Amino acid sequence: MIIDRETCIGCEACLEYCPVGAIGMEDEKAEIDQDLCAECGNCFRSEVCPVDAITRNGLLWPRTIRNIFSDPISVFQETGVSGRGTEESKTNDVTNRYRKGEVGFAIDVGRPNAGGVRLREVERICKELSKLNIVYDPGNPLTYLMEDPKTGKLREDVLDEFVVSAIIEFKTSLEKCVDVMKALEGVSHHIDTVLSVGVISRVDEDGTIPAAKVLEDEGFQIRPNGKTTLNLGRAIGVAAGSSRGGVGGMG
Amino acid sequence: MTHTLHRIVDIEGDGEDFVILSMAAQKHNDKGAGEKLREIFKMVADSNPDNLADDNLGGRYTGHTDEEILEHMGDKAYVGAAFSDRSRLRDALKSMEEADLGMSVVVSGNYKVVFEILREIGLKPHTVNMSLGIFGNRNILPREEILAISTMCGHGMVTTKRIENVFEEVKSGKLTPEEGGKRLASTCTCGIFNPKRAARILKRVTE
Repeated sequence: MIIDRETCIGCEACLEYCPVGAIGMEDEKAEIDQDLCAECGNCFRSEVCPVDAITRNGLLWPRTIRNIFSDPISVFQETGVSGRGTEESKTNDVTNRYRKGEVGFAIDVGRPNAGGVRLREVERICKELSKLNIVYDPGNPLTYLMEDPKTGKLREDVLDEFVVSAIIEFKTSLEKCVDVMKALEGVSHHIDTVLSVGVISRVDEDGTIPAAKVLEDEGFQIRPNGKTTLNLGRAIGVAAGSSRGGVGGMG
Repeated sequence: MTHTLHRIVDIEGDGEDFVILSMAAQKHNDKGAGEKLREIFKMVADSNPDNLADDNLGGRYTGHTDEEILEHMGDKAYVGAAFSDRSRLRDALKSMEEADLGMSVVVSGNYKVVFEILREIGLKPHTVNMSLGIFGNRNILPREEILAISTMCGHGMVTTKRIENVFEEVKSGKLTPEEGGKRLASTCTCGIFNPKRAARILKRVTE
């Protein structure tokens, strides 16, 4: 994002719209620190500037990464999904991305309100996780940036890119989910940001959540908040009503 | 995409808070999904939600009418809505269950309460994404009442600074809590920010 100095009237209205504090005042004009700007577009989209001094600049690789990760409306072309991640469990009733006996993780690095994060910091977490038996989601933009998912190493040219937040998405077996949580706990003491952890599990017929039981037995606290996918989706060709859950019903 | 997951829902006195999302699974059932998602949008609108949007465009509080949103909705549409009480949420889910359009539907909120509601209307949970909380350097986080509001936009577009400024304006009487809640909702393109709940928090903290 760019603020045109000639047009800016120095009203400061845009400053509070930046989630990473990249907009400051310089000689009574608003200016965007390009190193800190995550290209989320919040200042532009809000239409807060009374003189339309804020514009989007044409982005070149690897700066495009900032926009893909940070702008909620931006679409990752490879998957057709908007935002930082995938559909993850939201369409699991159709895709069967997470089967019974598997546990998914969505690790949201830099969230909430950490003021942005460098991908170098995200890589530190990926490297620790890659020591475990996990399978990164191939549809996630971060996985796309990995030189080698076995090591968690990201491409060298993206490491200094700055984003509002990034999601690490992967799955493992039910047996391994405690090891993953312990690894996350361990690495969290060595990072200068925060991460919010989401754990994805299929729900048994009787309403039991297998991953919740395993994690609670090991002393991890499940917060009240959850995101529940209903059994209403179905793949094309599956008859209405009778086979709710599409392929998800078989896993 | 975990933008509705990590809301802080257990702060005493701020009431219920639920989010509905509905979408097609890309490359599975997205062909012709726009028409079904428009139907779902209308059903949710009939249940009187506290916010409503298609996150490809924006919503009621980002300056769009329902008609504009409906016109824009295609096969990649993402219906997002916020509810402040379970009865209206139940109405919306019941309508979707009866219509049986084959689109995925997700409900965020206290998952034990959500499971109860599903039981009441004869639906079953398929998969759940549970929040295990925040790890790392918590010293960099804003205070809890800011987080209670900011986490209603998981994309981080409702900024700490804006919330602090709205707190000040409500405290000084320039804005009512309700006006403050609506103002803060204006940068959430997904329609999941709950302005009514934000108003409750603003009122509680500034009184």
